[in-house]
Amino acid sequence: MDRFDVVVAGGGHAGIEAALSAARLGLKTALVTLKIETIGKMSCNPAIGGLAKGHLVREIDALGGEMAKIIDATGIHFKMLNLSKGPAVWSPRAQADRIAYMKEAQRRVLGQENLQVIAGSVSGLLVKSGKVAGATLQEGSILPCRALVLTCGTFLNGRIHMGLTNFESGRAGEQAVKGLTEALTDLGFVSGRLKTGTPPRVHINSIDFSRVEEQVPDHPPVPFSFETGKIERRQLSCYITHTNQGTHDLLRTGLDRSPMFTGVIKAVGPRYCPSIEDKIVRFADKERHQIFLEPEGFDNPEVYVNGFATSLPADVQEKAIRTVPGLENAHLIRLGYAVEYDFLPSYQLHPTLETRLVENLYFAGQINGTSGYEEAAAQGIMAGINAAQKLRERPPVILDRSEAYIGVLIDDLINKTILEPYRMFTSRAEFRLLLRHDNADLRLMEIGHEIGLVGERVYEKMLRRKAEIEALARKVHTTSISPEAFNPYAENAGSAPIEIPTPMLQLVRRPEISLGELLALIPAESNGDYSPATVAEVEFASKYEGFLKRQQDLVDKFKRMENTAIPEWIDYDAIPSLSTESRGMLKKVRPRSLGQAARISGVRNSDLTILMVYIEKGRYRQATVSRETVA
Amino acid sequence: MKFLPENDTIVALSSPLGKGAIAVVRASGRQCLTILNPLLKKKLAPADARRALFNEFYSSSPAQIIDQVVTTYFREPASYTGEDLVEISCHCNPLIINRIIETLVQSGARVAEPGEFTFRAFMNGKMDLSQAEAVAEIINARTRQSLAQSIRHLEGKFSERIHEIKNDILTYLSLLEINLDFSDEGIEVLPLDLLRERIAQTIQRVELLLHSYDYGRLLQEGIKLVILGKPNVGKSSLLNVLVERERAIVSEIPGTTRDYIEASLEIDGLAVQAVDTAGIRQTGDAVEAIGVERALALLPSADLALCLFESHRPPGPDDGVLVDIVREHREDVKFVLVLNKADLGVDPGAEKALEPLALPLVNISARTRQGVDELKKAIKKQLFDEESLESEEIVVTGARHKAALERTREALLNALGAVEQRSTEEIIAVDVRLALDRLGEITGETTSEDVLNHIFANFCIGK
Ligand SMILES: Cc1cc2nc3c(=O)[nH]c(=O)nc-3n(C[C@H](O)[C@H](O)[C@H](O)COP(=O)(O)OP(=O)(O)OC[C@H]3O[C@@H](n4cnc5c(N)ncnc54)[C@H](O)[C@@H]3O)c2cc1C
Ligand SMILES: Nc1nc2c(ncn2[C@@H]2O[C@H](COP(=O)(O)OP(=O)(O)OP(=O)(O)O)[C@@H](O)[C@H]2O)c(=O)[nH]1
Ligand SMILES: [Mg+2]
Repeated sequence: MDRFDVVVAGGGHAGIEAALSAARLGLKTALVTLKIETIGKMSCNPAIGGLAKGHLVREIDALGGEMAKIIDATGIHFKMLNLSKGPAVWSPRAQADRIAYMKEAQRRVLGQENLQVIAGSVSGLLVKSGKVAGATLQEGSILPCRALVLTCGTFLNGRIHMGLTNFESGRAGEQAVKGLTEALTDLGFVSGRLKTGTPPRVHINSIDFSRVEEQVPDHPPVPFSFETGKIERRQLSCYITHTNQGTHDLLRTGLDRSPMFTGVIKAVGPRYCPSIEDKIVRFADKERHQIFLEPEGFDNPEVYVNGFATSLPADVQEKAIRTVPGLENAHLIRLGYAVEYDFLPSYQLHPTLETRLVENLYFAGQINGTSGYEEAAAQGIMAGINAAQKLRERPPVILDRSEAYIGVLIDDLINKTILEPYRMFTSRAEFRLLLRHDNADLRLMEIGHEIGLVGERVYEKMLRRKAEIEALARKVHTTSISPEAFNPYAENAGSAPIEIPTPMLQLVRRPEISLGELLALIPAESNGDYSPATVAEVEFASKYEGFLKRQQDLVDKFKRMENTAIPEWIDYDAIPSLSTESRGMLKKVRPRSLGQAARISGVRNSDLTILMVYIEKGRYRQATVSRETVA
Repeated sequence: MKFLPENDTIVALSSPLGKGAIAVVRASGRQCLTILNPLLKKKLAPADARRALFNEFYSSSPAQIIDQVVTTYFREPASYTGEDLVEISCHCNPLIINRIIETLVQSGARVAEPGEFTFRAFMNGKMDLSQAEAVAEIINARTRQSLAQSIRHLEGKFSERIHEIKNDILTYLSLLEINLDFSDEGIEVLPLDLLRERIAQTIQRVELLLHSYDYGRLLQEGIKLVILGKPNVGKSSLLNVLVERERAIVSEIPGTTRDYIEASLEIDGLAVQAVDTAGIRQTGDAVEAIGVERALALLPSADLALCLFESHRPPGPDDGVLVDIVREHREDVKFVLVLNKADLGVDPGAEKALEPLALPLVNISARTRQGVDELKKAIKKQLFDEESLESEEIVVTGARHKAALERTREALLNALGAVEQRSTEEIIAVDVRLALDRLGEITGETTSEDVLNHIFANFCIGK
């Protein structure tokens, strides 16, 4: 068999990004996955983006990834969330045509140069002197390679639960992967177990749409990708309905056969994605729960019952769902279920997603304890990029918390103890005001371009946009508006009149004043033709200058801490004064910088100081040693 | 709160408390001289670098001497931290030390976190081997000690109040975050008016705690008590009675005590720093005049003054001088009038003459000790009026706690401002978050994970 540079195991959302980026960076890449027809399959809700996740998709796009383009081509219900809040927390979300999405992903993967797609199951790996040498396939053959990226999703020793019945499976209708977890633990890796669940799907023709509330998509839809001009696909509505006491009573009758409440499932599931039975037990006094009915596509009769995830037995699922208005005659095409699977706690990784134990071995996606397509894809592209960088002998690409949600994601994975499947939230980002979905290109495209994943055309478009923003910002800082021009408008806007010509910047800061309208007040010839996005960007920067500056100051301090490296030679056991808890965590994570050490759960200020002193001592000692060697 | 490289000026006691006669307070940061010079008699300039200067340290307003000190200025980068640094050697008296630190904080410095001086030294590349070795040991010991201290602080009602405040803030931060991170879940939003009310409420709670600070400081550090009176009235005798040993020389010759004499004592578990002074009277004697002046200089920094008169006869002209002093200072200092030598008889005229002052008055005899218990009661009553007695259970102690609470209040006020401007949630959240971080200097850090935990525990989240 040929030797590959990079082998990616798993054609899910992480695997797709990893394989495409490695191949595009010129490496000979193989994508090994169980079934070629399920590449890009959405295991759960056919939606991309959403709060904080939309930011991730935009960032993946700015780095030269694929997810945004696939959803732009196949989305059937686009909605910008949080529009009533400030632009920092707006988040794009779109429902996908599930089948179209999968097909589009496959088209892109199968058409990629340098990328060979292989149907098979990776069940082990070959390691030579601490370094990956190949992947073993289930039937015994070996794929020699220089780097291996594992993106196995929920498949490692996957077990599906439905009521008290359970069986091995990675995802409904698909086999589980056996042996790979064990191969990894034999090498010294630590594994754990998590759980997640999914709701039933109902047939579209069995829904009584007169009894549910329609939710129309945005018009026009806003695309995810910085390259997409316009969304072409026809859009569909979603619908909202609610459970009621009758639903809850019925669900309760099934609790004695719930794998969760009877203790059959031991792994922890995500608290932000509880099953419906979990909701009615934990919040027993809540009268109803919201249910979204989300169509899965045009030629697909399946409708996703969002909010009704369950692992109760089939008969209970069916009876309970039929108590919900609009679903009285629902025909269940698929049943809800829960799945338990192995993951590898991610403190075992470098921030490049390379494992600390085996060189050139990378983990990305749900295998690292995350949940969600966007979180998976974000890790996928970073693993692909870093594998390629390493093989090309280029510096690693590590985004920090002040640059990107991707940075927050990976940093959290490495430094926090993962107790439940990890999902992104905007509140996890301490520099939230700086990390907006609409400035992902300004933040990251430079990096994507330098690596070689972002093409010239879109890169130049970003540079032009940047220049336009700078020009408008200059104008806002230097132009004044006369009372004659401003006051008539001010009266309409409910704003105080001015007496002397006043700098635009000062006027934009008034909450009731919009920059777009101010620009209309100044003479047309001096008023360049700014795109709405540019105006929005500058308006935000002007209105919240104080807040942004405060965040920027914090970023600067943060960077100084990040740039203070902790040397590799450090031996935590040799530092007597560290607290036991800190020592354990520091040994486990082995932080690269003081900043990172400070973020590890359980590490105190006093430990940091002791650490600094120790580093300083060691530096001195090393300097002395090398001087002696020279002499 | 985790360390961040900051530019502000930090201050801390850098010598162990309770050992030796001299304590060293250190201030480090770019603004060091700007903050310190207005508080010093001799201003520090680059030319003074590394020179020990006899100096006087004043409170900011009103400017009154706190202590005679020795200041040494270390100019950036030739200092321990690599920044401008001043060492203030003062008398090792917890009251004085804390007043100095408090004054510096009022003028813009911040109380340092344990280990923060070393942190700065490290960040500025200023650690050499010998420093490094010594410091590692100290930090560990010191943190253990301050940990024990904060645990003591966090016992009882104080901790309860602080946690109430923390929970308040956490609750509405969670609500703000729900509106941002789970706005698609159809959870009832927090109306801005209600939010404003709740933030205002928290600010009130913080202020209440801050109010109790002074009282707490008294409990912790003890009170400063000055004994005033004309010569021979029995001041030194009273001091000895209170101390329960012969601390001051007593004689029948008026003017025996020429300078002030200090002694530590305890009144019902309350630490008291008592000062016996030279007698006050109309005088032409220069030496005595200086003594009187010094006695008066002690007044502003005192928590309470005992004014001695005679019990067996009405006040004379020398007593009149003291009465005038009481009138002049009654706004800033608490007084108790003591009529001594009651064993020689109680003249109703004496009490009558002092009535217009409307101050607590006790007849005692330093010789027979009669009335001394009553005097102690009067002292306590005067120090802790009804109002503060009620709040006896909750007191803010320690300059660090006070500073943290003040900074918490500042952040909450900014958040309130943002709400009033009808800012959106992510903007308001910046300052609410900051308030929680600052409170974290007392309660320990609140992470974004804690906020999420709070959300998941209290709200039904999840589609
Ligand atoms: C039942 C269920 C419910 C879910 N619910 C939610 C939810 O509520 N919210 C949410 O955000 N996310 C949910 N998800 C998670 C979301 O689907 C995943 O996070 C995301 O798909 C992970 O992407 P991935 O690339 O890591 O793995 P996956 O998308 O799972 O892809 C893994 C791929 O790798 C292949 N593969 C696995 N092992 C091997 C191997 N050894 N050799 C070769 N090929 C292999 C598989 O065939 C598959 O194609 C759910 C998933 C499931 C299964
Ligand atoms: N009978 C009687 N004599 C007292 C009492 N208290 C003090 N004396 C006497 O009064 C004289 C002066 O006492 P001191 O305590 O030295 O007085 P003082 O106020 O410190 O005096 P100066 O230091 O000189 O200002 C001494 O002879 C004491 O014995 C008292 O309660 N009763
Ligand atoms: Mg005397």
